[in-house]
Amino acid sequence: MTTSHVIELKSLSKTFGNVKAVSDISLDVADGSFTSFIGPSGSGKSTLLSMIAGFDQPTSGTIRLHGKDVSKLPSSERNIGMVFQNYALFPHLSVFENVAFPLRVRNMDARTLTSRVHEALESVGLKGFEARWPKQLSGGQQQRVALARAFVFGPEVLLMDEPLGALDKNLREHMQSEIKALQRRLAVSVIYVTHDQGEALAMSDNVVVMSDGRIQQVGAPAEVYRRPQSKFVAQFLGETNLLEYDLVSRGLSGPIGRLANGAAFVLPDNITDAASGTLSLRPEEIEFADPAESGCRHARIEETVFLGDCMRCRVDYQGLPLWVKLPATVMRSVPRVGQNVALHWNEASLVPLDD
Amino acid sequence: MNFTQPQYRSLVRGPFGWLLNACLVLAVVFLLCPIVIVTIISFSADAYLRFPPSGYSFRWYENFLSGDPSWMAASNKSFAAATLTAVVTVVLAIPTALALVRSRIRGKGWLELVMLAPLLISPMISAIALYGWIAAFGFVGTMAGLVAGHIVLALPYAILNVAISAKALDPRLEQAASSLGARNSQVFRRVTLPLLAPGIIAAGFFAFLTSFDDVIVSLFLSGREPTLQKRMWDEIRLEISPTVASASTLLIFLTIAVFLAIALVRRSSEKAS
Repeated sequence: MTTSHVIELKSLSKTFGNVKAVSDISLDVADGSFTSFIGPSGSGKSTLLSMIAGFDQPTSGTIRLHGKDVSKLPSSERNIGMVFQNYALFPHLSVFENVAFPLRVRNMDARTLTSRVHEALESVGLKGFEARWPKQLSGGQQQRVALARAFVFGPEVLLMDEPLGALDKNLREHMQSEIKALQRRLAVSVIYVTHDQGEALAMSDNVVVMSDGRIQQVGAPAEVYRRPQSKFVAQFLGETNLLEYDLVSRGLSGPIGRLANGAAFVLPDNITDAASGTLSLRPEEIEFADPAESGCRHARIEETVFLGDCMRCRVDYQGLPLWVKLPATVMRSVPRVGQNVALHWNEASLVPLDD
Repeated sequence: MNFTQPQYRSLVRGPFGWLLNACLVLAVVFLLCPIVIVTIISFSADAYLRFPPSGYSFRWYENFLSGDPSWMAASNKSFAAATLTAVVTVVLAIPTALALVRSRIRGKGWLELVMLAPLLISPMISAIALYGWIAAFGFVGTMAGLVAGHIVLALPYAILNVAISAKALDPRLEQAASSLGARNSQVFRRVTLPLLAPGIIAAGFFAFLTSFDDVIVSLFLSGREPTLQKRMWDEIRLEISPTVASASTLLIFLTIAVFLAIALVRRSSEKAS
């Protein structure tokens, strides 16, 4: 049995003048999944979405939608629902007519149309708003209308381009879970573009990290977060400490490395044989231990930042600055600047990076 | 609609307020005086233009509407020419304005300037230039020639009006429509055209009035059957009967009605968007 793919991208490239916005991207997106494209601005994620939607023609490569090559089809024949960052609601049409638009251009009969529109508006919690004008709605309500309009005609895939970018933080988190719930209920595939890594991690089944028009890494959020393959991914997704090391020996207890500050430590087994390399160590993987214990790594607290649910400390680990993140709730004693502490981490939390 | 309107209850205040207010009042009087005088003369009972009239009657309105058939013939010709001018001008202005606003070509600024140049040129010069061309094709005295002349006068205004609406139109709305399944023709009819409507309607009204109010091009091109403005011009030169005042008064109120209509359309479209 093979899993079906809603979208298959093959060697997709897009060049604007001499600028390669997207270069040679191949990717299969599983049917019914929630896939996020994340990356900084200029990484090519919006161009990629634009090509899937049919607003931009690829310079080379193909786009398949449920196995069918749609590379040359106009946007109107792709059966794709798109939610725009600025919502792109039609200002001259009421909420009802906005949602009815995709059904009207498909010449649906009036009775089915009315019931479908009411159903869609109800599922986004906007029952009773049919006669309003887009200008009379709040940002969150406009977002819901845009959503309803994008799925009311049963598209094969929903594309969302930074749909929550214009909303304030609380509403954004609320809408994240609403969109996620809606996606499960409708069992529709979603391609979601965002520069907000937290949003991507929270909502997605799969994240695709992009930079410079290329895919850097693809995987489940936890997988990509815990096992970044490159410096770029490690730093773009969350915060991290990058540790540059020299390989000293491959001892009985495993390979031994030496950091820039001279400290030696056990490396994870899966590192390459290169003479030197870089490791990622997430700040939350470091713990403070009792400095009296033997074999511990001594450090001094240089700076503390209180973040509400956690505390971020910059420590001086024998000349090497490191960030440590501690949960703020169960702390018995608050770390003070100047305090001497011991650092502890599990070898498994050291992730070797490609470059 | 009273939630954003501030209350206008006082004139300008401050150290030179009285001066500003006096200028305002003078300007209004200066602008309204001719209209008031012409309106009064139009009800004159005298046989020639005189102010104030020695008596009042509707005789010159009667003369305009039924007495002298040349007046209604001229009016009909003007209406026909203005309507044709408005329709053709709008049909030309829509694609031109869209192309002008959306194209990404070098020298676009110059192209815009060229499009709007007729606004800066005296209508007399345009009329002389047009006469040469239209005479060369044998269209002097024909409706086609007259309308062609009026389109040249009206098109810059029309393009300007449609371009203002086109600039305000977010291209993502058309992309959205297309992604929702609308073919290009449906996108144009259901999204582009309705969103350009305020500009198109204003363009149409302005084109109509440009043609209807024109006398200079009509002098050259209307031939033996004059337009209303040409007929009025002839009347002033040859007879000076108060019919001119009656015709003017009707025109003034027609113009006011058209401008009110534009304002109403603008306001209702603002309410919707």
